Amino acid sequence: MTLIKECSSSTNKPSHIKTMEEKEITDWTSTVIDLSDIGLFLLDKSNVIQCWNQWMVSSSGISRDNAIGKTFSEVFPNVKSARLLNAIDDALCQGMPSVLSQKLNPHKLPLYKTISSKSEHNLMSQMIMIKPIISKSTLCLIQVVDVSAAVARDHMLRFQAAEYHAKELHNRAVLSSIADAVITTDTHGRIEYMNSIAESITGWTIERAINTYLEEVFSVLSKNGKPQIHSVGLCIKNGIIPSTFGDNLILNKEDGTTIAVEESLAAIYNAKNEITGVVLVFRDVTRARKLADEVNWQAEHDSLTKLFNREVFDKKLNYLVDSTKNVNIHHALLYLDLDQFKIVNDTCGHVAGDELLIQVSKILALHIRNNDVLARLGGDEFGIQLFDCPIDVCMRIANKIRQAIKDYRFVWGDKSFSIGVSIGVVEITNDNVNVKNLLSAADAACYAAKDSGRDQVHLYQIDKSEAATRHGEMQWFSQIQKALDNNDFILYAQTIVPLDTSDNQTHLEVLIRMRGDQGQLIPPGAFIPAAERFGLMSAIDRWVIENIFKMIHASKEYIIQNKFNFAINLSGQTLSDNETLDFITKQLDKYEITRGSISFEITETAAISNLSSANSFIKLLKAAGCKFALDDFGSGLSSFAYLKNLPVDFLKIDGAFVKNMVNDPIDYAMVNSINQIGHVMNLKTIAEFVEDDDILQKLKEIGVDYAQGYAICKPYPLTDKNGNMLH
Amino acid sequence: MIELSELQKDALGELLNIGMGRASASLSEMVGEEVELSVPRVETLSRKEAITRINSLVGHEITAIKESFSGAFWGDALLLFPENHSLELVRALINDDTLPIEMLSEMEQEALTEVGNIILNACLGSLANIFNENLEFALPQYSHGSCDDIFKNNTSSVTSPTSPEGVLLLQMNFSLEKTKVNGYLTLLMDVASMQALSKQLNKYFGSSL
Repeated sequence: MTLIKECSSSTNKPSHIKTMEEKEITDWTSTVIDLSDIGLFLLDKSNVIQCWNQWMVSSSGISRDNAIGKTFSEVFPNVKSARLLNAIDDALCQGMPSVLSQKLNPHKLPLYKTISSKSEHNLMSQMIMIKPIISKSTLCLIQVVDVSAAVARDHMLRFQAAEYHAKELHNRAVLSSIADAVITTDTHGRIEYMNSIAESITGWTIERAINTYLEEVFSVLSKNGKPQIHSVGLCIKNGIIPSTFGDNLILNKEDGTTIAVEESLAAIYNAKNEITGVVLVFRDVTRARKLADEVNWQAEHDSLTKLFNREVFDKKLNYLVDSTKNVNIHHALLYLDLDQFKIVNDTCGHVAGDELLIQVSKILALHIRNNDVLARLGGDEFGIQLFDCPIDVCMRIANKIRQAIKDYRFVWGDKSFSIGVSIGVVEITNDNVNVKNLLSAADAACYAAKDSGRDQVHLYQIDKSEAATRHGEMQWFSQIQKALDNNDFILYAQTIVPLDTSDNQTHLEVLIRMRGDQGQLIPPGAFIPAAERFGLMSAIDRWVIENIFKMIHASKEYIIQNKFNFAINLSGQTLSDNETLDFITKQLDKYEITRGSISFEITETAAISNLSSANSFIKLLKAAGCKFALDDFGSGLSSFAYLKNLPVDFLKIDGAFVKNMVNDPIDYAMVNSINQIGHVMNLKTIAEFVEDDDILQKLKEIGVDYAQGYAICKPYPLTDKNGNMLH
Repeated sequence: MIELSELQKDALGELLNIGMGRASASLSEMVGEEVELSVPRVETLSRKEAITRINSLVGHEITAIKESFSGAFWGDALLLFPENHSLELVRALINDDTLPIEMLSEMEQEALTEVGNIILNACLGSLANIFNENLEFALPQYSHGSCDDIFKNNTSSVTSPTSPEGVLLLQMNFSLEKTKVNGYLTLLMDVASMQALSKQLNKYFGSSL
C-alpha cells in the first residue's frame, strides 16, 4: 500500500517539490518499480497514466515521457478491447479487480519481448491483472505478466499429450488386434483398459468395466466350481507372477453363461521399476478343452454303450481292491455275459446287435447304485463293481439284473427276441486281494452260470464248486483226448419211425457213448459240455463221421438193401469250422457214401449262432446228397423267421414239448404249430421223446411225419467192437 | 448462526441473477457463443454443513476461484466446480479439447480464474451497486483440492477463523451450446457480516421483507 500511495502521491506533485525524505523513498520505490520483472502502470480516474515502469518502456517501446500524463487510449490508440476497457472502468468506478488471461484475451496490449520480435510483429503472450487502489481517489494498477514461458509449456504439454494419445491409440490398436483378451488394472485391481476380445469374452463393455474391480468382470471358478481367489493383490504386492491357475478355469460371463479360459497375470512396471498395475491375458479355450475332454472321455469309455471301458474298469477295480486292505468292507464284482447276443447279431446284423448292447446297457445302469461301476468289458460281456455291498444284497442285485434282462424283449423290425444273461459273482474281501485272480474267478463263475443252463447267477466259491469244477473239467479234457486217441467211443443208434407209411427208409439217429476207465459207459450229457468248453467237439464229430462212414462202407450192401438213413449230430463248433467241412466231403468220397443215406442234425441254437456259415455248410453238403434236420426246434427262440434262411429238410420238434403234449394243451399246440409250419415250408417233421403210445397217438392225429423215443425204440449199440454194424 | 428469511433469500437470488445476467453477457461476448448463467437456489448453511453439502453436491475434488471482499459486508466469495466440470467448461470456452489429460494446464487455470472473476465481480458488483455501497475486492485466486482443504486454506483475512461463520450457498447453472456445467457460488461470511447483509437487504427492499 505504501508503494502505491507513494506512487500515487508522486503523480500528484511535481517531483522537485518533494522533501528529502520523500525524495529518497520515491527514488527507492521507483527503483523497485523499475527493477520489477512485470509490467506496471497506473491510471488515474481520468485514465491518465501516472506511472510507467522500465519493463513497460522496454516491452512497448514507449518511453516514460511519452506515456506519463497521457491517457491510456492516447498511448495505446489501437487497443479497442471492450473487455480490457471495461475492466479498467470496473476498477476505477466500482473498485473491482480483474484478471485477463492470455487464453481468453490473447495479446491485448501491443507488447514485445525483444526488438526483433517487434519487427516480426511477434506479440508477447500476456496476462493482465487490473487492481483498483482506493485511497484519496481511486486509482487503477495494471500489472502485465509475460506468460510466454507458460504458453510454451502449454504447447509442449499439448504436443506431448497428443503424442501420448497417439501412442496410446497405437498400443490399443495393437492390443485389440491380437487374438488374446487383455485387461489391465491399476494397483487396486480396478480395470483401466480391456481390448475388444476381452469385451466379447467377458460380455462387459469397456465403458462399463472401467474402474470396476477385476474380480467382478473376470469372475472365475475352478473346474470343480470353487470360486478362484485372484492373486492380483499378490501380484501387485510382491511383483511376482503367480503360477498360472492351470488350464481348468471357468469364467462366469456377464450373461450368466460360462466358458473355459486359460489365463496369465503379470505386473506392469514404470520407468522407476515401481508396479503401476497388472496385465491379465486370457483366452477362450472352450473348444480346446472340450476336445481334450472328449479325448479323455473316449479313452475311458466304450463309444457304443457310453459305459466305462475295460481299462477303466480294471483301474477302478484295483482301487477298490486297495480300499479293502486293512478294512473290513465288502465289495463285489459281477461278470455278465449275454446269452443270446450272437443270435441277434447273426440274424439281424451288427446294427441290431449294437442296438441290443445299448439297450442292455441302459437296463444294467438302472439296477446299480450311484457309486457302483458299470463297464462293457468286450463283445457282449459286462462288468459291475458293487461298492460296499454285503453278499446277500449283491446276489439280490445280480438276480434283479438277470430277471430284468430275462423280462426284456428286444424288438428289431418284425422280430422279437428274448435274451438272457449269465452272471458270475465274486466277493471282494481283504482275503482275495489279487485283481487278476478276481477277474478270472468272476469269469469262471460266469461260465459256471452258463454251464448250469444260462440265465443264471453263479456265486464264485473258492473252496467248493469252482476248484472242483475246474479239476473235474481238466479230468474230462484228458479223458476225452484219451478216448479219441484210443477209440474209446461207441456208436449207438435210435430208430426214427415214419408215421407216414409211404416212406420206406430206415431212419436211425447216430448217438455216442464214451467208455470209461473201468469199462463203464459214460452218457454224452456228462462229457459233451466239457468237450464244448475245451474245443473238442469238432474232434468228436469227426470221430463219429469217420467211424460211421467206415461202417457204412463195410456193410454197404446191407445198408443199401434196407435203405438206411443215418442222422449224425453236428456241434456248433463244427458248423463254423471249414476244415471239418472239407473233412466231411473228403470222407463222403473216400467211403463212397450213397446219396440220401446221411442226414445231419444241427441244433437250432447252433445253426442260428453261426447262421451264415451254417447256411453255406448246409448248402454244400446238400449238394453232396446229404439231408439236414434242425434239432431241438422250438427250444431256443420263439421266432420262426430265420427258418426261412436255413435250407433244411427235417424239423425235429423239441422233446420238451412232445413229452408233455398229452397233458399240456400249450405243449400240444406248440407241437401242432411247429408241425404245421414245417409242412407249410415243405419240411418233414420229427418228434423226439415219444415215451408212450398216447403221445404217438396224438402225433398221428396231428400228422407229424416221424417219431423217435422210448415208446418206439431205445438207443442201442450200433456197432460191434470192431466197428462193424450189428444186424 | 444467523439465518436469512426465505424472502431475503429470494430477494438475494434476484439481485444475484442481475449480476449473472451481466456476467453471461460479457462471457458470451468474449467467447462468441451464447453463455447462460442462472442462480436457481440460495441456501444459508453453517460452514460444517456447507462442507458436507458441497462434498455431496460437487464431489471430493473441486476447483475453486476465490475473491475476498470487504466493505458494507465482508467475507470470501468462492466459485466452486466439480473438477471434471471445470475442465469441460474451460475447454468449451476456449474451444479447445485437444488436451486429453485430466487436469488444467496453467494457461487454462488462468482462463478459469478470469471466468470466475467475471462472474464474482458481476454478482458482488451488482449487490454493491444496488445497495449503493462500496465493496473492496482482492484479486481472484485459483485453487484446487478437496473441499476441506479449500475451505480451510481460504479462511479469509477479513473473517476471523474463530468466529462462527455462515455460508450462503448459491447453486449456479452454466450452460453453453454443447456443455452444461453446474457450479456453486458460496459466500463465506461471519455473523456480523451476515447481519450487515441482512440489514442491507431490508434497507433496499424496505419493510416488505
